[in-house]
Amino acid sequence: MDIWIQQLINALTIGGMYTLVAVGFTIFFGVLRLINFAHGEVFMFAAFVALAVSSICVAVGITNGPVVIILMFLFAMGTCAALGGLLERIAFKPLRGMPPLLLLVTSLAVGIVIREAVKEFYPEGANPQAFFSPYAYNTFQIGGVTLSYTQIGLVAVSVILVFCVYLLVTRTWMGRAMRATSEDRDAALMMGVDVDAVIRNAFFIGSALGAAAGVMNGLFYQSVRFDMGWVMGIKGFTAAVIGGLGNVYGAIFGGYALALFEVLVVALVPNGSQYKDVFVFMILIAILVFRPSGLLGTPQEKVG
Amino acid sequence: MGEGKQAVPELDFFRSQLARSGGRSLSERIKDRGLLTVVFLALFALFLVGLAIESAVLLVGYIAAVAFGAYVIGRFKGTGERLQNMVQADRGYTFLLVFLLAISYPIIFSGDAYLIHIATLACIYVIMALGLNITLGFAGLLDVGFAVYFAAGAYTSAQLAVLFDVPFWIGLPLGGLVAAFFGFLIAWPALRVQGHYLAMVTLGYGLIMNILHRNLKFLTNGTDGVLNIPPPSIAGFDFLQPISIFGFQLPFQANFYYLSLALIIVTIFVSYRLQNSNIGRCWEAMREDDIAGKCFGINLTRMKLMAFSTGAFFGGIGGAVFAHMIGFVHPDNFMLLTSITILAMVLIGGMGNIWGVVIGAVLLILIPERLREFENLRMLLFGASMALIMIYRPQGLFPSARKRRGVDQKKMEQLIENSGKSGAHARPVA
Repeated sequence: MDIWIQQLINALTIGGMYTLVAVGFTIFFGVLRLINFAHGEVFMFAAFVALAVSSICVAVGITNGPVVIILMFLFAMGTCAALGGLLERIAFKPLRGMPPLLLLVTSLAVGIVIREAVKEFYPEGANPQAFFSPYAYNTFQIGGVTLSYTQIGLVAVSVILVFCVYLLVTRTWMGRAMRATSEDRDAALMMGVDVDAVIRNAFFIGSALGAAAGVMNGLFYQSVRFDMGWVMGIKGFTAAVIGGLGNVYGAIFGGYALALFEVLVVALVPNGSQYKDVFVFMILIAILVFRPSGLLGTPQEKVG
Repeated sequence: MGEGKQAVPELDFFRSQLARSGGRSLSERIKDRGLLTVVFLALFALFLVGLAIESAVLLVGYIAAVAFGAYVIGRFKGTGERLQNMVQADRGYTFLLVFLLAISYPIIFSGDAYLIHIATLACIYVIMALGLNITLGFAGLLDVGFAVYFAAGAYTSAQLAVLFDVPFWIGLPLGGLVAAFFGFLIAWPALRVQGHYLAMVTLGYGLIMNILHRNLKFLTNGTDGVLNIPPPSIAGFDFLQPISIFGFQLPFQANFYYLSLALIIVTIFVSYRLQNSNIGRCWEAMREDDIAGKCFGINLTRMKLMAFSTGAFFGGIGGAVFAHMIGFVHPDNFMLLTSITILAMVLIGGMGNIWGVVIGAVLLILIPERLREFENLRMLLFGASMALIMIYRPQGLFPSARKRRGVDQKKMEQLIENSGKSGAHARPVA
């Protein structure tokens, strides 16, 4: 029993990261009909920004754990929001209205550029880097379940961020404009929505959330690699698809569902960790083929 | 494509037919052929000079200079069109010319086995890119998992040769057939999806298969790879022996070069025949408007299955040749990056344009090979140049002019303008 609770908590932690990445995918798709494969690399980039921040902090003598972690989150999210905005401006804006393949390939190409740039220009970027994670070994027990403070913190951060997204989407003018744009871009334009600004904001927000996930990933696994973005990208995308692309609540559901599913596969299928990703991608294909509007969407909805 | 004022494409076709059937005098034709010969020789010379440049920095400069030159020449109105018309009017002669130049390549570089080797690699990728061109360019079906077929062909032919001593000449078509089967396998569920979703389904397929390549050890030897794949042989002549052609002594790599060249010719021939056949027209109709196509009685299911399996077949052929040339097959050869590279060849060359795709594939293999000096930076360059080409020339370097395939250039330019001016959103062309 205890082992299941342990697994459940792991699923919650990983699910939080998937969710944050998936929200990015889903809002890019919503406002721009774009599957942005550079998003996974933005996630990775954030982890490296945070790594650099922590090194600098240590170098200048700031060793207070919470301060460093907050600085890491702030800098990573800020930098990546800017990076996302930049990508939108130079890569995706000129391609608006083009066939989906071009956008897809462009985002893949941009992703390659980000990944290789980190690999080449970050000191020792080609090797795995140890990540600053002060509380990873501070654990406590609740009835046989071992929890680390990091894990608790990460679950809390992801829930808070997800809640912020929820508020943003439902309660603010910007969120409403975003939903309107997702639903029908032309109609939104006619209603006076500044669609350009909406898209820009979507990139800021989506990339910042992905960045938060990147930092969380580093804190959780205590190491980062230049090539970790791709896998996270495809998982985040799968999570977004499970909930229905373009549907923010769907992404939240999909992220946690996917993490739970992964944990179950590893626990129940023999050799599960080897074939974990196979199952994930099969889910992806099955949902795209048989229920393209996602598990939460209405089947009649026309997408794609 | 509904604007009434657009030029009627059929008229171009009749004009070219007219030109062909003797609208020109004999002397004009000779003059044109002479001009064609000079142009192609000059292009070939440019290509050879580029290959001969050893220094990576110089090569980048050279490519930039050539690209700039092409841009300047292209500014003179009608230059490109004129050349295109000349090629169109005299297709057989152009083909012969290109063929002869390709044959002469190993003879020119008979002292440099490495250059012949990378040219062979380029040829193998040309075969695969032409295969993807059938699926994507002709039928408009996005396939981001092309490495699956590459792998299927390579593993089939390699394992047959290693485990059962099956000769290459049987393994080659079998590799193609197994690859076609893998194409069929994904086409069947993919029938229900389009656009983005089709791309994602095939991408997931590619990822799944790559994990299986690593883990199904009884089929693929896992990450150890398949080793010691025997080279092909014809009537006792082993492909690892040097050959002599026209009295020139060539390194053994030339065997593989000529083999893949022959396969390219077959592939191009099949592509042409398919493009202009009933099937090709059905594909084109399906690509432009599948619902309209369906209304005209096209069996979409069948056409999609055919497009996927035909494309995959050539992927498998390329894989089989690759396995026997390198002598070693490893899952790392079939990662997503391979699929993206093949996709980029088709996109950069110009979807649906057979010659454009050939050029795209050759450039995308040879340039990174020659930039080895830059080590890992070349991946950065690859990504950056791909993104730049997609952004600034989305229709590819050599869009097919007579039949607008996939993307309509004028319409796209118009869309870009609109979206830039008013901040308005252009609807997807799809």
